[in-house]
Amino acid sequence: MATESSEKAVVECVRLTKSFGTKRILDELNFRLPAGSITALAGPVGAGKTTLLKILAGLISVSQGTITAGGLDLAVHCRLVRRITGYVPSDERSFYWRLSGFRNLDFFASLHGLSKPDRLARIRRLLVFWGMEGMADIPFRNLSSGMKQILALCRGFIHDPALLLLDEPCRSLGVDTVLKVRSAVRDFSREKGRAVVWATHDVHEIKDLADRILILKSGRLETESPMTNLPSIYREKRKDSWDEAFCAALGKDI
Amino acid sequence: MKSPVWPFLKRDLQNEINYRLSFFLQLFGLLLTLLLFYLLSRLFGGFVASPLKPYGGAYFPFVLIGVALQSYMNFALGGFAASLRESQLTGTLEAIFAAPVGPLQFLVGSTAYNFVFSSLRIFLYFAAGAFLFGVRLDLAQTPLAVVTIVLTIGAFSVLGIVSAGFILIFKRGDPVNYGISVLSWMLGGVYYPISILPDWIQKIAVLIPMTNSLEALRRALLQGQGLASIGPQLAILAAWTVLGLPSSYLFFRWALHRAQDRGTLGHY
Repeated sequence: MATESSEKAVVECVRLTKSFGTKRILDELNFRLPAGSITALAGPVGAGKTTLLKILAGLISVSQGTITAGGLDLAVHCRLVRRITGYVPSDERSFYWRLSGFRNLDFFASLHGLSKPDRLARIRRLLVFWGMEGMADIPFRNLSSGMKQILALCRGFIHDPALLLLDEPCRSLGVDTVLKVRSAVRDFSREKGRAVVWATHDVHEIKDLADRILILKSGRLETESPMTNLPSIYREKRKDSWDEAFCAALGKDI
Repeated sequence: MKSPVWPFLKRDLQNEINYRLSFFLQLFGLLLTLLLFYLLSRLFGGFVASPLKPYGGAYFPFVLIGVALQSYMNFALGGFAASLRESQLTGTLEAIFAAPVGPLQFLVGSTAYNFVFSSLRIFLYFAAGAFLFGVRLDLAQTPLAVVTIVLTIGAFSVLGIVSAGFILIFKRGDPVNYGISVLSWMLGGVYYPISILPDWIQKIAVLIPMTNSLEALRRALLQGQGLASIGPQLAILAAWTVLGLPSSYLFFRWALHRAQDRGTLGHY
């Protein structure tokens, strides 16, 4: 097995710092997102997870430090980096409510420069995979929260990005769909060699899925380790079970 | 390769189909406006006010071009800001900029439908004026009228893009749009010739794009005058376009970077 430093990194962040006014939101983060890996991004509410994802998606600029994605400096080649990045926000308010799910996906896919036949084939494939083919023509506003979330996932996958950023992707989803999301993300990462970041509060979503974990606390990188090492890191604090270790990492006791 | 503007145009067309009633109400409003001014103009009967003489003397043809172009200005001025505001409110602004979309593509794409639709409205205004209310337009000057309208789009867009930049910064309250609308409406000669205004106000009025667009269109379409006559107005519109568009685009880009720096792109 290759060591982490020798793995090809899709993203490399060096001393990434973000401040809004005088408030420092992210403080000198250093990490890599290797190709073919799933990285869990955890932390208490307000730790800076969504801000970090938006920075990686090119929606928020950094105050200091550098981010290299796909070999490109994000600050210089923002649009090129967006081409290889898929972002699934936690907010369902990011679609056109009067347009159908199909037309929404078609619009966003066309922004990525996909040709019409390619768009149609990809949209059809995704809708069939997620069992939404019968709902393609229903206006977005008439879909359930779960279906809206599935469309957000479809939008993230549609251009086959090298880096997929998921902000609480299982919000509003039933257990069976959560399993399907986990399986789809695992295949996407393993088979295609894509880097995935999965931000969540729920330990069970990512426990058996992620290879690595980044834990943010007050904007600082509290922990960066292989997922399996988490309990051992916190063993010193007598947190033997995985759940206890996770809570300890977030600064919570159970 | 397909135009980068096409996805936006297609999206807005599909969206607009969901608002069919609004579309027909707008057309109805257009006819109602023309009818109102037509009836008002009949009040004057054969009376020719001297300030209207350079435009043929009749009030209705004069005001027809005024209201047609004003509706165009409203779209050009407000279109950029309205489209941006809608993207903020629907939460799609971040989703669009998460794709490889640049500020120019966003600006042109988001307003393409508005420009197509408002150009159709101008045509409908003129067609209704000609066929329903008997206004005689000099069609030989159509190419010159088209040039005037193209330059008008450029000049109005300068202000519209600045206005959109303000929306990115302040979210609500759009001082540019309001100020220019009032100024154009009062000083631009939409409802009355600017020659009835005090001299010092006229000197200000000739710098406003609206005044020059209206003057050029009225002289071309109502009086059949050519390039030699309306050249100065076209020059002013061209100056607005050539100097103003790059500046307004730079301002919008700065406002976008500012929003990205402050993390307020998706705020509303």
